[in-house]
Amino acid sequence: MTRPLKSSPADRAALPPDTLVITGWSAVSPYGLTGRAFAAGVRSGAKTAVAPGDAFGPLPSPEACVVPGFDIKGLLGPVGTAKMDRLTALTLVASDDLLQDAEGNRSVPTDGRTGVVLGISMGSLENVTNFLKQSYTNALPFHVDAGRIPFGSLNHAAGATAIRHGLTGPNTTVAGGRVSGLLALNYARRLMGQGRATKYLVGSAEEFSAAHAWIEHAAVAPGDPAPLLGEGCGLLVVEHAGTAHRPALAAVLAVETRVDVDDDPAAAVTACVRRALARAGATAEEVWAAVPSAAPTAAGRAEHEALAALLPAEALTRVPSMELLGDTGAAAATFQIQALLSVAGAEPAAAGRTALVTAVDRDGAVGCAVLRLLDPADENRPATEPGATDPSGSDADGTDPDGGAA
Amino acid sequence: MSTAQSPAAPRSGTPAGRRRVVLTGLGAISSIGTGLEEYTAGLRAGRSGARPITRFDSEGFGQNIACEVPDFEPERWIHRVPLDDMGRAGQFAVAAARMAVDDAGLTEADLGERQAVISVGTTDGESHDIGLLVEQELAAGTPEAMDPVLSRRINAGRLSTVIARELRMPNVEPTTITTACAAGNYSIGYGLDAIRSGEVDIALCGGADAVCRKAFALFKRFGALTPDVVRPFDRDRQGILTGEGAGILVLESLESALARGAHIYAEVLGYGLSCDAAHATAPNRDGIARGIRLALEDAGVERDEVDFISAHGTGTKANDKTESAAILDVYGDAPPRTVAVKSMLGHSMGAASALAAIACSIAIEHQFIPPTINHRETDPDCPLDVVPNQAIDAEVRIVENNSSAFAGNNAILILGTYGERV
Repeated sequence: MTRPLKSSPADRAALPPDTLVITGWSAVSPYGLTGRAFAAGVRSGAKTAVAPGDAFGPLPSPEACVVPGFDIKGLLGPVGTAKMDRLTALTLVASDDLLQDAEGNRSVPTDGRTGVVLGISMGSLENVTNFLKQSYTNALPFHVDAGRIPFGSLNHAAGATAIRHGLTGPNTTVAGGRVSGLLALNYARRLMGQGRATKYLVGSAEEFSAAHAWIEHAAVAPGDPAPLLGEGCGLLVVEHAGTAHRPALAAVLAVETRVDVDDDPAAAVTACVRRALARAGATAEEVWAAVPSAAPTAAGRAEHEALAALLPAEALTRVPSMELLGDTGAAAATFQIQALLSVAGAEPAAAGRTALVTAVDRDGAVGCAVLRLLDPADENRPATEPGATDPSGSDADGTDPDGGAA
Repeated sequence: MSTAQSPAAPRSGTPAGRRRVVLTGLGAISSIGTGLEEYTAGLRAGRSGARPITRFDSEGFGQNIACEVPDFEPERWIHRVPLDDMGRAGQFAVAAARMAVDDAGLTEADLGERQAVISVGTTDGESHDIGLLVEQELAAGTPEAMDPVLSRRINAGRLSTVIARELRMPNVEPTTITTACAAGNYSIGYGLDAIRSGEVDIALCGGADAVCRKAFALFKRFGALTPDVVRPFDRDRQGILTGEGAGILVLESLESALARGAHIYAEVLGYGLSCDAAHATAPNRDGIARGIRLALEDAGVERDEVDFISAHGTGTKANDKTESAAILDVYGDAPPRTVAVKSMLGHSMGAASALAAIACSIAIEHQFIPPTINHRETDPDCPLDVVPNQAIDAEVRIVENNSSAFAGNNAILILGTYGERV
């Protein structure tokens, strides 16, 4: 197999210092608690559906794709976790894996302007419905568990991540269901572009719970199958190429979003992908891999058809379907990016190639991100701009002899 | 409606080449008035939005007051999307968006395929509908009883996408921001950044929330619900009233606004975001002060240029004391007048800082400062001129709009007059 685009000087010169790049990621997913487990699982193409167990209470469907071995106290310790919601816990465990090494030391440098942006659907539905049940059934309607209240705030998981790791930069939660991971990525891109943050933890999360399962069960459209639900949290570290603390795994060339106002999701996806490719300066023919959300809905089927009509046939076969993880809701789009990175990391031919992810959501949002896959073993980042400081202090890749031509 | 306006020189602190962003349309739905005219009249008169709760059964709470929007008629503004496709918060958001684009003089032909940001901030989204789903489950003894229509519309992302559907704006980024009670300012700031970047010329931003049992029970349990009225910065303040409504603002690049001769209410000068990274619910003096400083720096505004502050000013013991200290930390012993529109509106959650930003725009437009009502005696811990009880006429050129949220999130917005200041 030839590697025509890999590591050519021209390719490196095409990555300006203010390009948004992904330099790290973590995933707490139905494949396991770490990014490594996720990557191995994606590459294996294994199914993840299990009988979730009695701990969740009665459920509408016998199977779900839950994070295995997700013991909140065991993973996060006893302090502050007794009443913690699952969504926050998923996010915190993912943030630990992202920012710390195996000994618990900080492995990603952060500063006072490191931001956090997390995509969600509607937070922890288990928390809010339990709160309301207490209000409806206890002796008085305000006899509710005060200890659980902070976890019911839709921005809690992002704020708790900041508290856990001392991140005082912009801290934001965006809601957009399956598209929320792409909305979060674009949010980070914009705020970094305006100089409000030096680096971002970007991701999205969804928890599996009885409340979530029953509401999704009720919400399923006539004719659609009962949903196989998944859960998890995917996080990325994104930086500017010129100041990145470690070699990049991918460059974010474009993030585009749209709303399907005509109840024609295929047309909306097509328009969104075309615009994203144009913004990225790429053509449909050069897309090496594409990962749709694989939502188990009419919009999800239309999404796949739209991509199949636009892109080379093999692009849709390189990454195993996200169906294997179930419908992971808000976590989906970040998981899709990570699935791309997982496959690309084991495939030398991927370096330098263009890839994309798409997402469709019940509320009408549509999104597409176009990435350039990079081989971090290459010296793919440009030289640090004159005057810029490198927070890590020593980075061999900063000496890339060709980057100065950018 | 258009007025001849010549572009002013950029202020000295503004980075060269940065695009300027102005407000050209405002839509407000509030407990003190729906529509810009009524909202303005309410702010000037110092109306109170407090009234008996009708949204949910308040039996057993020992109190029954919130700041609900009275006589809301969604069909006046929502023509295309079936009303059942959204809950109360969504209806507020869409209606306020329709008002805002009408006020801006933007037709559907003007919007159409134009690339834009639609960003609605919210605290609770359609939590009222979630409450109804729980009621259905409890009444029937099984979650099978939950209504499919309600189940499909509870996710907060819909607050932004439903505006796009109603206004037929497909080419938009629908970013709902759920950073709780600071979400409105967050959304306006995001629109500012999107337009500054040069990628879009138009953003519809603000916030929406609806009175719900969840918020009422939560603040009651926290002991933060006042038994009578909201008295921000008062020695005898006892807490908030929950409220509701929506505020949507049309943000537009200066070039676009000038090209179509739009009326300009104010310029969005800048904003600041800070995260306390300290406590899940308590306000943080240093975090708020840092947010204010970031906002002033982003706006290129000196402290002595700020004519008044629209405070987060919830009326709780903790917020008002902490926020006052942060304001004094930044401004020293002679801070600008500092008012709390929540004294009139209650705490409309995600809509709060959006409605407050509209109040600031109105203050600039009509040259008055809205009052802090229900005020009797200023707390010595809050040594501020809160413009007690009566609006005052004043020269208003630059205004700071504060907001803070649970989880330690602060968002501060700076608005200014357009075209007069050098």
